Amino acid sequence: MKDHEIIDLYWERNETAIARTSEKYGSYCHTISYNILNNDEDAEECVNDTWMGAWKSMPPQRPNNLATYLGKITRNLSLNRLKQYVAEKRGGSQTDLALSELEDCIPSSTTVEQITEEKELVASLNRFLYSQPEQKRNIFIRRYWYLYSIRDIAGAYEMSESKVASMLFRMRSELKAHLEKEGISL
Amino acid sequence: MKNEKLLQAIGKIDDELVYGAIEYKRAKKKNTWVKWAAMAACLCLVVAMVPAVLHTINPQNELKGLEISENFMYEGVEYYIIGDDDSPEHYGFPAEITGELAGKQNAYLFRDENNDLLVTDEKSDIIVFEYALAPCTAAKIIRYGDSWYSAVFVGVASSDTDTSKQLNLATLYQIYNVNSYEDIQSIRITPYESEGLDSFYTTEGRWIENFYLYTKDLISHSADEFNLLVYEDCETEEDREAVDSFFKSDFCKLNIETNSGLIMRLQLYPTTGWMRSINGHAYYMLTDDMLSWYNSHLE
Repeated sequence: MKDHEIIDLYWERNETAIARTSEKYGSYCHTISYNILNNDEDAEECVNDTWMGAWKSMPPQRPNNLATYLGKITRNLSLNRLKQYVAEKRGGSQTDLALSELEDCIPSSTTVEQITEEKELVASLNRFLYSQPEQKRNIFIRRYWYLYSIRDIAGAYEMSESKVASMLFRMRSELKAHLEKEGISL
Repeated sequence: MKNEKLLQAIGKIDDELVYGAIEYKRAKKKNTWVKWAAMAACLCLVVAMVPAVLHTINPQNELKGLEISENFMYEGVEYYIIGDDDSPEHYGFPAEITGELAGKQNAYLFRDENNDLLVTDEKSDIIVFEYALAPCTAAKIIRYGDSWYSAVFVGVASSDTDTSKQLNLATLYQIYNVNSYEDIQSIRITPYESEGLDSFYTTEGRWIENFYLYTKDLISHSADEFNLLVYEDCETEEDREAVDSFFKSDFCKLNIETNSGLIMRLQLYPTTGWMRSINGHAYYMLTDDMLSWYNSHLE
């Protein structure tokens, strides 16, 4: 079923919208959540909460891209849930690793200690990513948006894990330089 | 923590980037003909038969039918082929689509390596025809192998990525070959959560004439413009939820049936003053005339 038809079901308040969404994007959202939470049961709950979020937000929302619309809901819900677990000392997911990697990208403090608004930060990230060659860009997004493990990424691109790791390492350095150049302060 | 902030911000990068990184595609249908063609080719080599045998293997012979509805572009218009998972009647076609409904031949389609349907100059087993009962841009008949399907317009291509901007109601009427109110057979309005609202069905000329008059000049808005306008005064999440629930309670289906039986599917929000075309994803802000037309049918 096409995305616009699924969205129409939401707008028509037709409950089969959720079944159709689940059929088409269940595994997509599950992967995102699992990458973050490292637990099938928790991922399943987040995916179900994603459908609830979709049901509540459409209408009036009419996303141009249903996959990423749902993916963003799943990602947020899963990261929030992870925060609870960290407090309870449950972890071991890709997120901990990705977070420690992202330390590399944090720009050095500037003399003008002005904290950048998130909106500006996102715009700067977009500029950085669009300026990258496609493959590098996609690998970066798979790692830090989808929270895929380096092993999974290496498998998907038929590369060695060390190659992916070094590619990401270089990109983090480039991102740090880019953020500094744009005067971004976190 | 700063890295958490960065992780959050990465979560908000452009959809295009996110989607592009892991482009979601339906699993490819198994191209069994490839396997058979390869086997046949090997056999040919082994037994040293003439290569001409290969020409008799027509990949399209393996076409069985469309289990799932899918889209294609033809002459700048996007069409939705109504597959086995949907019903042609919803769009005003007969329940059963046969070759008799096919009019003039328009184009051939083929599947590219991404499994998308594209127009081709070469002959193929996927053919686009005019809909004989209503030759117009809105409806097509598709021959897919030995099966027949209907296809309906879902959008217009544009250099602007936001296609809905071009879909003023006058254009939409043209696509359905509605050039005057006399080309409309009936109007049906069905409230979804019907409390306080009645359903309405009319074939009467005076109702239809005014409806056509008050809608034909409506200008389309994109989904983004619509979202901006409806949430304009919202300051908190509660405000947004209130708007959401108001829209849900205001929602009516609006079907305009043309004289040839095709159904233009729209959605009407009479209290909030909006209308939306399902095909083309365009939004229309209702005029006072149109609102009083709606209110007078209730009387």
